[in-house]
Amino acid sequence: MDAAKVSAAIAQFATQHHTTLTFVANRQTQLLEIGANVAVVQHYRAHGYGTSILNPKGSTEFTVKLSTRGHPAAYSRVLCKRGSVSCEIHSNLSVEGGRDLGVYCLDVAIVAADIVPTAKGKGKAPPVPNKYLISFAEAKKLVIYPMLLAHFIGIVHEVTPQYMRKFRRSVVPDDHLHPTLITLGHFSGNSKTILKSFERRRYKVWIAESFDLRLFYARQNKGLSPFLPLDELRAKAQEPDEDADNWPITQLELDELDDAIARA
Amino acid sequence: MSLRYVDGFAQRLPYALRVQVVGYARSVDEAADDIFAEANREANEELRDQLTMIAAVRKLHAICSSSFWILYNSRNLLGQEVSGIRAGNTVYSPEGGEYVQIRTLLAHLNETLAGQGIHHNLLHGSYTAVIEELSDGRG
Repeated sequence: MDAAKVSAAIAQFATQHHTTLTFVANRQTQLLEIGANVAVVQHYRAHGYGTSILNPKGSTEFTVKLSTRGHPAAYSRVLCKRGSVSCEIHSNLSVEGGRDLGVYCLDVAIVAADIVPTAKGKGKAPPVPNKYLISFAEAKKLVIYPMLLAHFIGIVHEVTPQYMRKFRRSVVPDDHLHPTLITLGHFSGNSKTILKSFERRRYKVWIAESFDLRLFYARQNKGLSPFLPLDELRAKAQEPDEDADNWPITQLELDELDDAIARA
Repeated sequence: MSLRYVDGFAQRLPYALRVQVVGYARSVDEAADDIFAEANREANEELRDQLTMIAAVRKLHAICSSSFWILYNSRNLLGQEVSGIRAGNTVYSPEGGEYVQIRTLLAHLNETLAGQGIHHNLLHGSYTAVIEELSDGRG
């Protein structure tokens, strides 16, 4: 490998595709929130749940809620079912806190099935009572720094305090996702030290750093949850999965993949 | 620390992406001593610079590929009955301009990397394996 040549070739690529790279940069947060929803769905599928997509009435589009505003009935939800256990995944859902009636909007909320209204009523939708909240994920386009971890743990304390107490010495039931912080960034400074301290304190939380890499690895083996430890995910992704798509190198291969989907 | 090979292309990236790519390369550079020790190879400046470049390339590739695969996987996962993914005013569908743009971006990046001999292992193997390949002249 000639490193100087590689660097020059990528510089040329970056110049040629500056407009699209700028578009990607501007949409990273939006795509991250879509990805966070999909990754949570994949987590449940990897644990044997069947999933059904429930779109707003009359729509064939999977509609992701990206802000606190809007009635949940106007957005898509995903029903997950495994035996007698079921739950729903929602984007930007308002829920009541676990200690008071404060209202929090969670990027991805996992709640009991059939609790969130499917039709708009008069006025705003009420927040989901905390007893129906199972878990959640927050997505941030940031490097993981100590204050971000403290901020996230603060949210866990307020909305799902059971993950700090009740589950402290036991396994979270039904393979539910632990409260999870999803970030595009890596660990910075001494944030890994803090994470080790969380583990010592037996907090049942997951920090999913380098989410873009995680998605890439997880898609190579569809049986994997994107929320495994990153090294484990990377290693398992090397194990062949006959159902997984191959790593596409060229435009032609991408076209063939799309044609195959269209034929299916 | 030197990011000479990284700086060569990072300055052409939009600011928001440059910060992520350079930041990740720096984090790998900080861990470089441990990576060399684990690979049982002696560190030198050239190898270290190549390692940080591979890290930066990985990050750029991850940004481009995750953007595409989020949309592609979402579509696969959601099934054929879903015509597209609506996020705000944008609808991402296979026929849509945004989807095609991102797909083309990833395809061209993959072609660029393949053309330069950046193969799958360098992009996705452990950093210890990367150092082994680079120092053995296989990378």
